[in-house]
Amino acid sequence: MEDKRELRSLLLATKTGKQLSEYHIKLLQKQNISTAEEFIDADNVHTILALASDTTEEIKRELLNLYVGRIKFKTLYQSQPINYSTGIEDLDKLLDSIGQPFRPGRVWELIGDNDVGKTELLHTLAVNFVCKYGEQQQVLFVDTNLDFDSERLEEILLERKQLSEAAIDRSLDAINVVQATTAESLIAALAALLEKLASPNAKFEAVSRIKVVLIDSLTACYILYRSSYGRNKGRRFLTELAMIIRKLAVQHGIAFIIGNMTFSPDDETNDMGEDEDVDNEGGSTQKSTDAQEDCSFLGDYWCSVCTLTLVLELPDESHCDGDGLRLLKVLNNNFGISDGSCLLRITDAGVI
Amino acid sequence: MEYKTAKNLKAEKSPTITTGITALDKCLRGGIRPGKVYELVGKPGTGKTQLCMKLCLNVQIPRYACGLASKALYFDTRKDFNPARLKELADDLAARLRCTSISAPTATQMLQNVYYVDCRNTAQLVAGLLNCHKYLEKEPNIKLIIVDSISFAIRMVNNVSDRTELLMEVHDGMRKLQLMHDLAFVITNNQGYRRRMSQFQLEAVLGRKHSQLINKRIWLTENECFVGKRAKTKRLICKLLKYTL
Repeated sequence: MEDKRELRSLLLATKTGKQLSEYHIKLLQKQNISTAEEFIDADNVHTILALASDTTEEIKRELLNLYVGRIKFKTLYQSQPINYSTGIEDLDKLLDSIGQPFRPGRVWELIGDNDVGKTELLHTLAVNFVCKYGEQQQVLFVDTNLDFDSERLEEILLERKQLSEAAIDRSLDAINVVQATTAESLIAALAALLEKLASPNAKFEAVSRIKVVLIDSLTACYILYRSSYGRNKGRRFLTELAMIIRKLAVQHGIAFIIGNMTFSPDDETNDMGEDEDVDNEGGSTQKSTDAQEDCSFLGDYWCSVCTLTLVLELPDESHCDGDGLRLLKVLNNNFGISDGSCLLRITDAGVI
Repeated sequence: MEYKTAKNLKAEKSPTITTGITALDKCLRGGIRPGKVYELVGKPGTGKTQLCMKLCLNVQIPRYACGLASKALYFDTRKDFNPARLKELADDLAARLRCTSISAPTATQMLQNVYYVDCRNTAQLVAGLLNCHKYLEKEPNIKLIIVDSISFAIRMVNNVSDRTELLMEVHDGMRKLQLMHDLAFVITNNQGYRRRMSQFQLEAVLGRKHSQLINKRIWLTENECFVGKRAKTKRLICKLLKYTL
């Protein structure tokens, strides 16, 4: 019933369609044409209605215009898009060279092995962002592994520049933190954000100032799922998460950087790092160094969610401990060149 | 779900549990902190159990001495817990505290505040962790839970995928406890050789998923102390002398 009324009201809303009589609409119903789609797809509408095909084509065209929302190209195209700076000089240069400055609405992924400095880099990015744009724009840090350390942030701030106490306080105030240790709570947290932003008086609330969301890390979505049933569940969460992230990115211009851990495929079965079962590892470890393999661990769909994948690695030559040197490589760029790398160093003042 | 700003979180920070190693405390920003999972890794005989027992006592340091004034729960899987040694350590700490204040707890009181659970197999460990909710209801002041050693318990299971499953269950249990009660976990782990690119490397056992889920890993060797999650990325914190532990 709903559908019929819909076609009817749509028809009445068009200029030519208005001229159709009640009788015509009944005829359509008889031929099982009850939605606008069916009306447009049917080739024999003019014979059914005994009208000139010109008229029905005109109706179809008008229906299509109504049915498919139109967006002016001008609203999509910004002549001067806002570019954020990451605050890390080498990284900015790298991003410039691949034509991918950090912008509102970007969804990026940062992957890397355990303990390679992903959390550190995300902390630094949070600090850099609020230092630069903190007055109007805020950061949301989604903490899934309880790794967030506000004292580390303060340390970075203290180390960085000669900031006054009040300025540090203000910067810390602009970083929002939410703890989400399971996939469910991660989705719930982002859904709540979406809901708050969608509410009509969101403009006056603090939430609307959140422009960057850092997720550290995505592992919460799948790490606890072991069985094949659980893994599918993990995938489902991932899809759900991707949808929410897309909505937030497109509708509200929020930029995302998502931290993620690399797993080699053989890690799943050979997880325990046993000294005994070394034999069956020799061949497969070669693969685990191939990061491309790791990327597809979450499935092809996830690869298309993030438009830029950065990987943080230990440089090959560095053998000396504790120099904090890391290599940041572009692994995948959906919009263009996907090579390039830069060296970063982890210091007391964050990543530079 | 409430958002908290970093400023509020900073203000909420509770006192920490000192490890007794100054450089390590500095690196951990004060010591063991409620809400995180720490792991001690080292060969047998490098002082993991010793440090665990010390932490059980340090958690009881009263508030005026910047302590947590709380209690500890000890899960023992390999019967390494030595009450006599704990008594010695407690005497030592009590004597030091007595210098600063007369109302300091005595060694006997300290021993009473360490709860001990014996776990002879993996099932008992998992059951023990799940039962923690009950212990914590009775004793809400428990702020430190020690599992010594987690690798020993987990590796009793033969099948590798069963192990991972169990380990994840343990982690899940720990997470839930942490979210409800603001606890610090200290677990101990062994290290083993792993072959990578045809050379042997000393790594902590239990795999990478496990390393992702713990917050800080502390490596102990005979005379050095490191912090970092992998053998490759760990940083030297300080030299240890035999008597520091």
